[in-house]
Amino acid sequence: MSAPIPLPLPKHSPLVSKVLVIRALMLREMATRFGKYKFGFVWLILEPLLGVLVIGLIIGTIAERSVPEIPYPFFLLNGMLILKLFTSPMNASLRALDANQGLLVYPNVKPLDPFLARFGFELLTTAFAFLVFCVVAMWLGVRLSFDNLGVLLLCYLSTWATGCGLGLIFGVTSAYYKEIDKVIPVLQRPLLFISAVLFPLSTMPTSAQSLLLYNPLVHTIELARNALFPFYKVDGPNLAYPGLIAVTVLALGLTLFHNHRNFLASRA
Amino acid sequence: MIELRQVTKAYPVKHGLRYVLRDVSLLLPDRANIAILGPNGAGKSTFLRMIGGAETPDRGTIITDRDISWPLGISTGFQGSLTGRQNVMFVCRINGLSPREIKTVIRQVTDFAEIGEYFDMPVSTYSSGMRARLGFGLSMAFDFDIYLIDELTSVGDAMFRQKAKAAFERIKKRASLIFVSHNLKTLKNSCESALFLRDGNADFYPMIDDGIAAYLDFINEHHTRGRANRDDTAESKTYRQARKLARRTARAAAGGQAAPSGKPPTN
Repeated sequence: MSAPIPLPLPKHSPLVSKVLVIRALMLREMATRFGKYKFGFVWLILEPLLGVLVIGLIIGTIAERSVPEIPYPFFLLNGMLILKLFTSPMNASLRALDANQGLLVYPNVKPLDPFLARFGFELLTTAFAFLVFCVVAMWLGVRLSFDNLGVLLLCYLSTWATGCGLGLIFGVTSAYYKEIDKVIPVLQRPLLFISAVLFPLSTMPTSAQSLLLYNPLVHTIELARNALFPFYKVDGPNLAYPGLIAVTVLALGLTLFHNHRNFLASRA
Repeated sequence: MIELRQVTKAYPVKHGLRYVLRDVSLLLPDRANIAILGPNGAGKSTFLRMIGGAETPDRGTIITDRDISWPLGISTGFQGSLTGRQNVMFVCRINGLSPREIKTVIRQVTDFAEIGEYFDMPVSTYSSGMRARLGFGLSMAFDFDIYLIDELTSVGDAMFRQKAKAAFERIKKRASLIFVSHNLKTLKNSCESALFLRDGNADFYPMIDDGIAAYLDFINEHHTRGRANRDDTAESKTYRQARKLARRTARAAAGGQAAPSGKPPTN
């Protein structure tokens, strides 16, 4: 074997370096998440669709009557996608460090980077699923409105940001107390029923409505429906409340993470 | 040159903190191969991770103008769920290498590692020797000024050790090593200077023999004190080795031809 000529490592600005790291981590995420399946990328769409199919078959026949304005599967899908944007950054956070421990030895990979990569990955896959969902809906003749695209985006993004903030908080907590990993999925289970995913808020009893409105997801899911489906009317939800929660939770999560970054780095 | 300015680093243990460095200011010279000595748990690996930039000091700063590798060890640097190729690709990507450069790196790594089709299997399926081959091969592909080695040479078969030894010789022509090992003979062969870590202190010895002597004194003291507790095999092996080395050095000194310190012996 001839002696190899070593390559000097190129120098990059901190920003470029960060982009490179996040991109590499996202590609790595894709490789392990979908690489083991034959048509990995198909599961991007199939995963949420299967969930909708199962629930749709069970509850759809009853619930259909409560939403005459929208074909039920699309009513459901919109809610499910937003719910997924909330829960998946949290779930991805719990294992973000363990799954990338070996890679934190490289000096330009910081403990926050696996989290950012996973958050970005969840946002991208959901956006992709959403686009397919819109195309299929329009192809089937469902009327969609994009007049309130800003509201629609804010609904999705603020939910995602809240999920990311909670993800950071639980990610740090989980590094100290592993029990968190068991608790979070259990706590998430009722979300499907208390976030107006299956039924419109207006079909609930008035007393229940005022309680449910404490859940920011109810606001974003209902407003997104209102923005996307022209005939769907809402009363009560607003954007300010989930927006405020998103900013607060995200700031809390980042602060907590920053304060514990040394511990998180040493754990790897 | 690596400069530590009032560096403090501790890691949490069950009750309280264990200090790796406690307010240490230090200057590690260029072009010196440095052995890191210290008892188990003194924080040798943490020290390497800090020098490599994977961890930051709790207080103080580490300043350097050199390109320093990440710590090369059997348990570091690779994600078990990814294949060898994916791991190598990751390192190339975070450094923004072009596709052509990536190809070169992959060829060099596969040439050095010689792990065949395991290159496309998850690293978690590797033996420790294979991990060492891959890790060594990967870092050899890049041009660093200082290589951080963490117990890398204690694994692998004779062929790998031979290869690693040759690679070390090549590296030493253009770069220096900071070397953690429990094998004092290996350290003596590869390093001229030593850094002795214990209880949050770091003492630099320009001549490795002085460092080893100080380390042996320390071990000696603790060994006699903790004789009842003899199950720490790694440490007592070091101790046996150390005694042998000390005897030999003493003999050499008595014979009037003290081991030429500063240069590694040739055997």
